[in-house]
Amino acid sequence: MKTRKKFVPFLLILPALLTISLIIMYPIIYSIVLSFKRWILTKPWDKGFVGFANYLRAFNDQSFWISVKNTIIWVFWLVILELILGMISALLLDRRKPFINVIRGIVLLPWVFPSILTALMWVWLLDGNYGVINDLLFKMGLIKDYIPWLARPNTALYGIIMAALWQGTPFFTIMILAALQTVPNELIESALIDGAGAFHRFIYVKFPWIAPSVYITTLLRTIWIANYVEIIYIMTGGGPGESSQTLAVYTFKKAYISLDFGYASALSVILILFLLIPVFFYVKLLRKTGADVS
Amino acid sequence: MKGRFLLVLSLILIFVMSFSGFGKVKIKYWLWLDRPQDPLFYDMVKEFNAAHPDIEVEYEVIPWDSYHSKLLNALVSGNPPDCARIHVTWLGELDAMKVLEPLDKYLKNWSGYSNVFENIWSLLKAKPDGPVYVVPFQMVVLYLYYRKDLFEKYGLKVPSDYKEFLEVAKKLTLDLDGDGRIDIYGYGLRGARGGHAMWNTFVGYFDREGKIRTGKSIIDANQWYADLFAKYKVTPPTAPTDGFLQVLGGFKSGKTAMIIHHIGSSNDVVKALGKDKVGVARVPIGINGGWTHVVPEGNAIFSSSKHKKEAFEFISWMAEHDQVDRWCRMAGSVPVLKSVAKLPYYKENIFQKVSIESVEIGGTLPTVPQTAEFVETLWPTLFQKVMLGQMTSEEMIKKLNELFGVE
Repeated sequence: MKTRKKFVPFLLILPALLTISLIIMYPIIYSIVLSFKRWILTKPWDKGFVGFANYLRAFNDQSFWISVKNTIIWVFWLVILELILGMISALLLDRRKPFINVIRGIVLLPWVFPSILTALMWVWLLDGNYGVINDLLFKMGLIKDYIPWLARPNTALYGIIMAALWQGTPFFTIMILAALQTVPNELIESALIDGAGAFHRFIYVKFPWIAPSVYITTLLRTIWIANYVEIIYIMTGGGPGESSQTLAVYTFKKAYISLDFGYASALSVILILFLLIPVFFYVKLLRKTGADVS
Repeated sequence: MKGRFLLVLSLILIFVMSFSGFGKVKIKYWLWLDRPQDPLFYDMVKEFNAAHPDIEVEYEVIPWDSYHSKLLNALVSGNPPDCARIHVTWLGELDAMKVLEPLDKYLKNWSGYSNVFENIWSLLKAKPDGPVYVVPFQMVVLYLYYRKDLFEKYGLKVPSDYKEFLEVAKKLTLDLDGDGRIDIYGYGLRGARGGHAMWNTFVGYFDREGKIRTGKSIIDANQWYADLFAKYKVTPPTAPTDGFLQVLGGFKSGKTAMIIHHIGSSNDVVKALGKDKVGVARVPIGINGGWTHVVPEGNAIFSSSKHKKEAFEFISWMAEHDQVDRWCRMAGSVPVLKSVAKLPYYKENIFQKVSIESVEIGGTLPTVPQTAEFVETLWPTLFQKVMLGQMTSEEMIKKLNELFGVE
């Protein structure tokens, strides 16, 4: 009876475990195995185990290092800006006002847009000949001539960051807003009674309460942003040159344009290893705050 | 009683409807459309389905920009359509992947075979001695579009070679209202994906048989073409990332005075500017001789298809006289059929005329597996770097030579 009780929980979670293994673990393990092989689709006769050759190739590949640098810029600015703007908009929306629910719905709209539509829309907004953004900046006297945002190596990536920021900020807004609405009123009232202003109420009462939600949202967005391909690929294809090419885009090109699945798998494994860094910090932070990871 | 009767009748009807497709072979067909808003293709499929009660074509229209990667995804994952429109630059890659069905055995019994221009068939093979993989329905030939009204206003002659082309481009890069900003540029250079065809017109990296040329003249020609943007500034500042839509949009809106494209854009260009403002001519002779891109386009069958006979029935029907004539009039493309090319509509059309005249200097890209990578990513990445001064012309040509395995 005792033995049966011990095994019953495992039997109950077995179907879910099998599904997760098939859908998640199998592709990951397959990718790792593939990263140690040479497999180019246009050379089906030349397939085989090559050990760490694909990884060595990455470390000697200039395009790889350019992609890593671009990925760091892309992830850093996008996460930071989405967090700040998401926090500000969540705080503004966390109040009881007429039509606040309608406004909350409108704020969420960019997140609902398919990435392809977002990319196509922003290509034209940022267009160097007819773009609305250029037109507004020119008429405000902020620029002397239209800027070809997506055609210059020092502005292309930031132009795409603008587009992704517009699309991604609502996710932070909604997650933080949901967390803010769980802050007990008694704590806020106590702080008010003690004479705490809005800033101190946020720092000492609200933020500690919503911190786990902020951490998990930041972690999720970091991973999603690092893996983002479509918006960059559609807007610039990773160009001009390789100035907006991130590691995810480079991996995509190696897999689906060059058809070099062995090398692409190695690049994706490297990307996973990079992404374990924010996961490590997230777990450490949560342990520090004493919050439950789940 | 009545209720039960109605219930049984409904169940029988549902049963019959579920099996109404029984006995019909369903063909999955993928394509891209330059003019997806035009109803012609959709009507043609309905027509085919009605005329062939034992076959049903289910199509999927995929945007050009994602077509190649989506097709490759489907082929690699083992879930491709039965047949699809393909670009001949992909023939080498698809042949190496062994995913294409050789069509020779179907073509020898096809009554429409001899109606196709003979020299087209050799362009539809991956190797000179290999099988034909594509049944063509149109041809595109690149030529020069120019603003006839501006040429007349400024007393300019249509450029016959690259030197005259540069001079004309400089004269048509103008600040029209004196505000210090350029309002019109001489040439709409396509620096994004697809721009390799215009590039080769002037640079001549590939000769007319698709063989690769090397040496200083190629390096110098490549730098010259990049200098249209970097040094001479006769192209919009967005040129490095300008794709098809941006280049065509620039010409239609009056931002550029000359572009190189094919007859597929003729309807849109005339609609936007009016017939009187649009001139067409053969492309100028490049630095390494005359060359323009001739691309037959058509449909292929995949070797994994379980309905190859029916798929060939459809793609050969698409290549028959009436269908080719209607398609070419809608798309503004050049017919591959002799019987269609003889029709007055094509003989009297200036866009058709210049396309056919340009075939004389027409060439293709090599049908090797590396061509797809060259077209899709390597050429745009490298040429953008040369335009922006991040790479020398020599370095670019060296990387291209490495890709194609040329010294």
